[in-house]
Amino acid sequence: MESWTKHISGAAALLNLRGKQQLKTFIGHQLFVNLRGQVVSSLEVRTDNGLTYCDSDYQLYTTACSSSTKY
Amino acid sequence: MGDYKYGDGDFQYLPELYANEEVGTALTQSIVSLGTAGLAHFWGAPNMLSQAHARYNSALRLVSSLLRNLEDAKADQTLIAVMLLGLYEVLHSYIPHHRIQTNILVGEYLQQPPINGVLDKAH
Repeated sequence: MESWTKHISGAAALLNLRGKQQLKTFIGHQLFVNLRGQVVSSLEVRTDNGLTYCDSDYQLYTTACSSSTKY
Repeated sequence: MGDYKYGDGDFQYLPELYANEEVGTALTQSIVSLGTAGLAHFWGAPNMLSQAHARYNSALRLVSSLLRNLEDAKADQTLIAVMLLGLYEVLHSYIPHHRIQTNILVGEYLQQPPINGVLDKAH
């Protein structure tokens, strides 16, 4: 559990680093949706203080959910 | 590859990636470690599990070195490698199905809900 959580923390940091550009490709969008889902799941099992929430995550998430995104 | 879809889910974009990009060692090792672990379970070969774990550690090192460079860190391959390593961890910590079955059966016999704490054992 803990090792998986660590990988997901790393992935969360990468999702933030990659920024808005990542949602412009099919693969980037797929990866974002998959991994952000896992990030949210990891909040269920984390025993530490959890990930730091930041605005850029929310903006990315709403962009990803937007149905106007086309490939 | 054309329009052929290798099913849905996590891996559908991998063939396309392989066709379009030079795949680095970090992603390759992540895939190999998962594949080796999968084969180890399929064949019931515990010696392959140690091989899988060696590959996993190697993949971990390779991904770490990618993260030191900004462009490599932002690359799709890096993110996929991290995702696959996470998947490797998940597959190696799941509760064996037969154990869940056993707990449910014992619970039914005792006419109680399944024994508490079944999921705790996964951690």
